Amino acid sequence: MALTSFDFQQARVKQVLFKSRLRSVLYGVREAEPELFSMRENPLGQWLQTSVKPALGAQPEVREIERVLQQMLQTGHDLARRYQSGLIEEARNGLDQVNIYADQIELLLTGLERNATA
Amino acid sequence: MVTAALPVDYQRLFHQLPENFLLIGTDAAATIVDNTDAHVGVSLKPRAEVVGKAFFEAFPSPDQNQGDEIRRSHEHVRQHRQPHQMPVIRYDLERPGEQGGFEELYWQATHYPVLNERGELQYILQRTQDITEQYRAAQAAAAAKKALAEEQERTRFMLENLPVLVWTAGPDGGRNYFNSRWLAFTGRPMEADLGSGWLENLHPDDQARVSETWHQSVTTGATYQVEYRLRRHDGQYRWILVRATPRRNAANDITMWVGGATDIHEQRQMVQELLEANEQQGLLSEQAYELYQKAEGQRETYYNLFMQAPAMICVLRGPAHVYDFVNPVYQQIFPGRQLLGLPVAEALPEVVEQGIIDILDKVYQTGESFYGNELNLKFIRPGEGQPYNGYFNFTYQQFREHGQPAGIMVFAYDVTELVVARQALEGLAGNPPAA
Repeated sequence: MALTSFDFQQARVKQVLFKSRLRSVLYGVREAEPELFSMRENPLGQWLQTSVKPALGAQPEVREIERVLQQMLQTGHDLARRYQSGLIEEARNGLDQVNIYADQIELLLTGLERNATA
Repeated sequence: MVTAALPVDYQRLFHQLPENFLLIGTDAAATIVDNTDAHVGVSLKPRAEVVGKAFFEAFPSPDQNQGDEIRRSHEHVRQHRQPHQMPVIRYDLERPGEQGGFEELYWQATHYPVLNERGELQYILQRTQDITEQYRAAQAAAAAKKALAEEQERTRFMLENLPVLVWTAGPDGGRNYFNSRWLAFTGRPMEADLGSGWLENLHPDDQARVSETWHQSVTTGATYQVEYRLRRHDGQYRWILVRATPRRNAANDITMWVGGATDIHEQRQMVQELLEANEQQGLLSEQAYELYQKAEGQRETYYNLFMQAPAMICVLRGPAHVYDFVNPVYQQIFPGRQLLGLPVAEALPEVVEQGIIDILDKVYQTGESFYGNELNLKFIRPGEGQPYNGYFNFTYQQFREHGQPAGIMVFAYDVTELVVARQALEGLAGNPPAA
């Protein structure tokens, strides 16, 4: 099935949810679950795999999103480890980097959406 | 009276005494009698310019107050015949020659009585010590002390008034100071929190962990960072973030710890609420997406069903009856004619006068379905000379969206062949061939 703006909205919600979950780990609101940082279990990663790749796998943005998402998950994992080892402020300051990755993904999603729904 | 073993030149001796002596008469003007060379040296005035002159003429006072001080001291000696030590005075001396101006000097002067055999005052001997250096050193020390006190006061003021809970601890980890913000927050007296007393005021679930972390930092010297719930004066436990750094001396030994804490309760709550809201939204969006996909699937199924049905099906939308959907069987009746997107009256103008639009209007407005039975309709087919004369069984059925009439669903069978065949049969029966 062709991707609609509804699909991209879904992706954005997943993206915000990841950031929110990471933040709650770094504020001690919730324990970090290992699947939070797994590409295979990350909702946005799953969406890429099951919805985007079959329809738009050839688009260069898809690979790029996958790459940036991988970096974002890796950074998130590092921050969670820092928090757990008592480097609380250092971990929270690292959220800046996650935001940069998130902005990059958003930009790529916008480009992909323009191509997909044009 | 004992005489000296050798003749002594007492005036020379006096002049060369290694002190600043000034010999003054007992008269009210305090006429200067003599002075030592040392006094000449420090007073920066030749002996000839002072001897025989009144004291204040020789050494004018810089101000009334100091002059009075000297006069009082002279008077004291005259009255009591006892030495009198003056308070430290500033007595600037004129620089001789080209240098000009006055030199700032501080003096400690003592006036001694010199009595004759009868115990009467004969002279006043002024011994003056130049204590400028000591005085300056004392002044500098006092200024330094004041500056230090000011600095300490400044630091104390900052610690007390920063919007942060501040504490300090010794190298052994025992807390030895809490600022007033901390004390106001906990509502406990300083004594209760000193040493390791502060731990009692933590949430019971956090005590062991925090104690362990603090102990770790004190042992290793690593920066202390920890979050825990601290009981506020009103009994509510509030999450705070604490960070402390050790201070080290030149030998790299820890001399103290300084810690600061901020209340992050609201922040933490906000993170939690945001997470919950986002998870809810994620769930909702997931559900909406599933519903959408399901509806899309259903729409596709119905579409296929209608498209493949062996009957004429079309959907007319709105009060103008615009063709919104036309299946292939329907389109077959009107080969080559544009239907989709056009109102019936425009797509098939020849049916208007056959009463079809009136029926459609009525169904649309009243919602009452119309059942046509073998209704005769004539319309043009491109490329055919004669209009197509067809008979149809059909239903017009209103459909509604959001509680409002939205259009008409048309379901029809072309029964032309059946009718024509029957008419032929009836023709045969009504007009039997001539025998």
